[in-house]
Amino acid sequence: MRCAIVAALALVSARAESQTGPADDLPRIRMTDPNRDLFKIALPRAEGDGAREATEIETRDLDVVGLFRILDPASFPPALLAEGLGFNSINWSQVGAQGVAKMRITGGTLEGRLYMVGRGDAAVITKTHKLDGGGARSAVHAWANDIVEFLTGNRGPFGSRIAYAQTGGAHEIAVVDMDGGRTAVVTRMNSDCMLPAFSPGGGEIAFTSFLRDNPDLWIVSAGGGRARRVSRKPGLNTGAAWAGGGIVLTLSFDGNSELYRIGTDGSLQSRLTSSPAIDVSPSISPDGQIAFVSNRQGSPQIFVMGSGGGARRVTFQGKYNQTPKWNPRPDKPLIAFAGRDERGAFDIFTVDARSGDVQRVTQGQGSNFDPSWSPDGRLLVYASSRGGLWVMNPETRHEVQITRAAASSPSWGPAPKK
Amino acid sequence: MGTATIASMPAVAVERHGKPRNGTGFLITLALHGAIVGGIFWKHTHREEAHEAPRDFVVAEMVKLGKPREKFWLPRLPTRAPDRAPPPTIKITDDPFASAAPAEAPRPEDPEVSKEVKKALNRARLMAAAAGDEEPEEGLPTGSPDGTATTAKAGDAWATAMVAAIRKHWSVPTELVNDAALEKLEAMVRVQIAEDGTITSSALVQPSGNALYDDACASAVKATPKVPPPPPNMVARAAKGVGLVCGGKDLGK
Repeated sequence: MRCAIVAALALVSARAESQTGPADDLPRIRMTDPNRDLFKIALPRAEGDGAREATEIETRDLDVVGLFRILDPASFPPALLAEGLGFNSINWSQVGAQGVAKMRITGGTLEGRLYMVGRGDAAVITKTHKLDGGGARSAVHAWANDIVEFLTGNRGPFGSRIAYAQTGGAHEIAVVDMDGGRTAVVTRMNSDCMLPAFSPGGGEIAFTSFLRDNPDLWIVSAGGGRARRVSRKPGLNTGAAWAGGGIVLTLSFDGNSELYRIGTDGSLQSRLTSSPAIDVSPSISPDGQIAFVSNRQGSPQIFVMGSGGGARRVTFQGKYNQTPKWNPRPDKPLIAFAGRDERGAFDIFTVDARSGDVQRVTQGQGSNFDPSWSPDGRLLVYASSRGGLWVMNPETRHEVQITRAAASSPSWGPAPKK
Repeated sequence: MGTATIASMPAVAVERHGKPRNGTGFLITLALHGAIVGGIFWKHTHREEAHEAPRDFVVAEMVKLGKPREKFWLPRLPTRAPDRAPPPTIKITDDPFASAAPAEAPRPEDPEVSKEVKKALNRARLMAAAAGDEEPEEGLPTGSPDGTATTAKAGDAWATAMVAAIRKHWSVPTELVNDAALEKLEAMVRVQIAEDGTITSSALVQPSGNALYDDACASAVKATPKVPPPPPNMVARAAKGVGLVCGGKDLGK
């Protein structure tokens, strides 16, 4: 009996204590309507060997992805730069940082630490990556992917590559890192090469070349080398899109442009469209639908065809819409395309394949062509009349130029292996 | 009364012509016409008695002045004219021997700064409007039921200034926290404030469920070294801590 009373008293006092706990008795003040901006990140200079190059690659990566406002290192007081891999959240909050990423390179290993100013002085992630023969580049890309994965839940596209057709002096197929580093020309055709398409595994690139005086389809290793001719039908063999084990492309050997599926050996597998109009520029969705351009209802517009055939029109605005590209994310039935607006400029747009809702991506910056999605579906690369290739995050509208040389029809390759 | 007179007039006319054929049908027609005419008459005479069903007020939105955009064209992104600084004012000196002041170098336009200035002016305007509500006996809608009118007003003025100081540093990252999610998020940070307004400690006491949103609230407080000093009657409570609620769907936009 006495025990029970004591226990009951203890229970009552415990409850009373919890009611005067931290959150319940506070006078509340409500703050609404926050500022909206990119995530403010500080990237203090790395420590160790090749620190300068590593910091440059990290800064470039996090700029291109369009999620971050990178704080100017000139505004960091010396005390902050002297703290090494350690961290003082109060000091960093004074320079306006929401996150701070630090790197140290020692003995062929990169150690990265990410701190969140709102979560105190302990690192939220600590990762190490081995450097390879190419220096710190791929290790820094991997670390930048760690940062994006922590913040978004999805791995970033850093380290992926983009194929494009040169349109300046030479007209070969070239490949560049998505941050604009390491450009490499992969063909030696000495003729007009166009419309490259990375294979799903990233090992090969299909493209069209006039080497044999006909727009034939060729395939070359993404690392460069001798190209092999795959499809040599009279007329067009253009606009290749890799689909499963084969390739969907435009052939015009019977006198009219139609979409066909062929094997990677060039064998004709099936005819996909049958219309007296022009059907070109196929792009394959994650679930196997095909978006393409057709003028079967007058002006060139984007159409979508299921695996069972039966095309339906998805763009009803604008008089000239071309080069559709499906977003690779299965949860986002978005198609990017280039459309000509009423002022005569081409710009990048997206259309929701289900609802038909059209959103504008670029505006007022020359003409922009040939969009292609990053493997994570967050970014678009496109060619611009301003010169070179540009990358934009359509959500935050943050745009970065990645190459300056004249280029067309970029094709974004797959995500790098982890 | 008026109804009966009007309804009977056609009937009289029919009798004068003397050719009633199918009595029942005709009478029904007559009755219908009478009812319609009578109804209209009644409606006109009793209009003022009709009242609207009680409902909430709806704020109307007026369409912008401009040309409608053809649905056929591809959409355009909204663009805004950049904010511009006001023209420089002319300084007048009383010294008749003063030499001409050196011409000021033209200041580069900084859209970020202009935005901040605009926001600050807007805030000042809102605060001035709030301060104009001088009803000391009645208090304000945001006042506490425990406080007297005057102390409640002082407390709210401090809270307003405190929130304004912290909000300057409150930035919720775009895309990482999307607009749809933002409306539903609410986090609470316990903020302890010394007598001189220094923030002595802060801690997240009620997470919103979105870690990046919580981080934005917590780092806004951390980035604010000092807020206006609390009024004398609030010093003890401020030192113990106040709950800064970030966001919330009731008042948030």
